[in-house]
Amino acid sequence: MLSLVPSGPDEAGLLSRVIARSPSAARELFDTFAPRVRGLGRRLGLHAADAEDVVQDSMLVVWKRAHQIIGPDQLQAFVLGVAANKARALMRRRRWARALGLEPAVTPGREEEVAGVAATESTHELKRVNAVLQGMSDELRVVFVLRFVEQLTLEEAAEASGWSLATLKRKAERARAVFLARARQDPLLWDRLSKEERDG
Amino acid sequence: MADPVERDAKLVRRIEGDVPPGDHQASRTAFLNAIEKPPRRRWVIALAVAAAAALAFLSRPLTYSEEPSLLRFSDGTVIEGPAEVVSADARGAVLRVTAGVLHAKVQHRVGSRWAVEVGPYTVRVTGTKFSAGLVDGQIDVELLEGAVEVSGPGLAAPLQLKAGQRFHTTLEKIEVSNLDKPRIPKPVPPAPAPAPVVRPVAPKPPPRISWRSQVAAGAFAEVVAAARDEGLEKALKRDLDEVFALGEAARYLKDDALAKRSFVAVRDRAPKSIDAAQSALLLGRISEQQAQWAGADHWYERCELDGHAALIPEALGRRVVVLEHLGELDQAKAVARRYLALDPSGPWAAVARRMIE
Repeated sequence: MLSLVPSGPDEAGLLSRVIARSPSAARELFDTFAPRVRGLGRRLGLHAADAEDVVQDSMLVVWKRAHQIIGPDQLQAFVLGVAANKARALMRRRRWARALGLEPAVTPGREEEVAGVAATESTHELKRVNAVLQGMSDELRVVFVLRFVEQLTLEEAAEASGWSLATLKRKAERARAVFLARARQDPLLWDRLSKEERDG
Repeated sequence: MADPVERDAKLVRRIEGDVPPGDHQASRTAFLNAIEKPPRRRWVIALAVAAAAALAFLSRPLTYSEEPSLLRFSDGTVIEGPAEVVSADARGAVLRVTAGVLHAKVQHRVGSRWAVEVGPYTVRVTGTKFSAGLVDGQIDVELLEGAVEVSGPGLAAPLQLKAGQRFHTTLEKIEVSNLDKPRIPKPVPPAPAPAPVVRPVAPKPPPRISWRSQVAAGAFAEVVAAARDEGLEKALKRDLDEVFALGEAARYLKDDALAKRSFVAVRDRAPKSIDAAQSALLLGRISEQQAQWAGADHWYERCELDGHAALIPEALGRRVVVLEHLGELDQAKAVARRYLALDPSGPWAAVARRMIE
């Protein structure tokens, strides 16, 4: 199950230790946020090796730029924002590589990641939902994941993505609409959505 | 009706980033190693640029102009006398003297390589002033500056000539003499190769891993044990980083006495450093955990007075809580106001507002 890292005194303490370059701070920073960043990468559709690259790159940036974080409760949003940007850059590179024929058209690993989720009756549904998500543009997928999957507040998502609050709101609504429109194109998800609409 | 997007997002949350503990540790080690790398210094870059320029310079083949009895090379080397250029490249040239005496002033450059063939002998040169001649079957090499190396018949190993020495041979016998002494034909047997001198090499001590790195890797017990082995008096005189790391290691091991001693040592030695302010904060935390509220208040106040902006909000926020425990409500209110002025949405904001209201 996803463990959300709470903002609070401990996170504030961690931030001050990171800024002060306390010896144990780097280890604590990594242990606290690396699983979250890795999860974000994989939910954005990166395969395991790319997600690991995002972890390393993001944590290095956070370590170097922690002093730029304005409030002690902004550490989490800052980390996820850096990670989202790294992931987007990686996705862009991959797209170019595919366009130039330097990489196979389908990124390997995505299926196995989804398959890695414990088999339950909803695994099949998860694969379809994930396929809808991965079919969205990189930008909308990042917004969707930050706002709805990672459950950042609008302010945190705006901070993480680097957009203004108004822009983030517009993009989040757009991401939501695109997600639902695409979900309705999947027969199984269409059935479920129709039923929910009827019941509603 | 449940929001369908919320429902699907919850499903997607099941795609996790968990990896086996060993993979996570390897990943963490890679990160810790990466941040341990020292930043690249500007002078290193300048040196690299200079080296690249030197390389570019060295990679250009030498050119030379011929005048009567004079060769001028593009690197500034000047050869006077009856020399023949056998070959020339970017690093130098090979010259040959078939008869007469050659006077050379070779420009010294990094990686340059010059040689003069005199009869069956070869004189290898780096940067130097010398003459080499073949007259009436007698070969002379006279060295004015620098060093050259002569090899050829009768020499088991290349012979090093120093400035002020002369090498003379008639092919039957070889002599080396000083230029300032009269030229006395003093037979010198071919110099045998010097026997290699074997000196016992002391085994290198194993590389020392800093306590800072060890603490970063979670080896708290090892750091504290090493400090105790070394003797605490001596250990507390190490670099500040190391003493601070010792304090952290002790704090993690709940060895509060050692942690306090280490942090106080840091403060004594560098009272204005951010390490000192951080030490005050941690001393306050230790006191707070021991319910020593007055002690905690003292250290948080010290941290605030140290004036390092990054640490002040936390010191103030924690102080509000401590002062409440002490029943110093007026003072707590004043500190709460200072906290809110600095960090109105920070983690202690709710506590501070409650205190004021």
